[in-house]
Amino acid sequence: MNADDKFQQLWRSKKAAPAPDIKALLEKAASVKRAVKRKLILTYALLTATIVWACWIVARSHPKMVTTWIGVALAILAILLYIASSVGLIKQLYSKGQEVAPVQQYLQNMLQIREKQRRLQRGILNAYFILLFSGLALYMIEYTRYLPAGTTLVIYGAVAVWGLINWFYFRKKAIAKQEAAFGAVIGKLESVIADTEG
Amino acid sequence: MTIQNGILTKSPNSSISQQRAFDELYAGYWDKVFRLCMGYVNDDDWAKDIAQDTFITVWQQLPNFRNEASVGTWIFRIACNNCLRQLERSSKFVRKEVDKADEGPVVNEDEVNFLYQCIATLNETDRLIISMELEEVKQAEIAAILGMSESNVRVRVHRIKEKLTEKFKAYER
Repeated sequence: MNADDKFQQLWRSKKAAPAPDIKALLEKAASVKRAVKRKLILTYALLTATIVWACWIVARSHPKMVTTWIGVALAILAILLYIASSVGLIKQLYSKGQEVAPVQQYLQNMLQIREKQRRLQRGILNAYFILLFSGLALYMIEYTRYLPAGTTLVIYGAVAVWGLINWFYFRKKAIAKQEAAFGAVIGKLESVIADTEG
Repeated sequence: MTIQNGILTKSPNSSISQQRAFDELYAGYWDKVFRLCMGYVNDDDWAKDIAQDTFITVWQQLPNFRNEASVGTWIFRIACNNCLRQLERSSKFVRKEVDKADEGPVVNEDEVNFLYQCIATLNETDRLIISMELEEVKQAEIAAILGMSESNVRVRVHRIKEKLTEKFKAYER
């Protein structure tokens, strides 16, 4: 037997896992769909609850200054952005029914999605910290204006230090983690695309 | 929908005929798709998952299938895309079986497993090429599925088979 025939024979001798029952397979398809739907509903519920909670807090404290309202709006925006990016909403917006596309197109699409996601998440992360801390700073104006100057300085100083730690430590760490994950996948995709083109 | 010589014809009674056409495809292609996925990941459970995902897509997209390619080519294309999607889970990509194959003769492993281990040592594209070649997909179709030239596929099949032959020679020694 020549090598070609032998490989073919060995290849076909591999015992395939039994095909799942068609009903079970289609049930899996339906449950995947349901899970996606559930995730979306949960996301929207979480977003709505966040807004309601923030509004309730603000309404209770009866703010008079416009800076307080702007501060709250910025903080809500930061939280919304963070939730939207963390539940993978962005990815869901871009990828739909691509599995039937030609392989190269599929890979290019995967690469584009990942690159867009990388840029967006980085931007969102920066925006999150900026919005959150500028929101907090604006919110505090109303409640610190009657305090002694020294106390105000201490409070703002503490917030600033906390903000800087977040910006230079937590944000950097989060970006590095994201970059490592995206970089590995993007590099792999690029090398396979180059391989099919070569 | 009915399938004749790999061509899918649509009939007005769509939902029942879609179910029938799908049953036929599922029965006819499960083993082939499973082996292709095995060639790519060399892990039974993982291959089964990818094969299942492939047929879920086939079921969902069957009404949109336009006969631009034969139905077999279409299914293999979906299977290849699903295999390549595993790149996104790259951290999970463990090649422990593969390393053994590189080290030399494998004890207590039969030749079938050895072949699949050797295939697992190849790069992503080569794994898909040789899996489809061994599944007797025409080289022109492999080229169309992967978006490569036919001559490129031919050369690579030749090189891959050479590599496999060398590994088998070392294994048999």
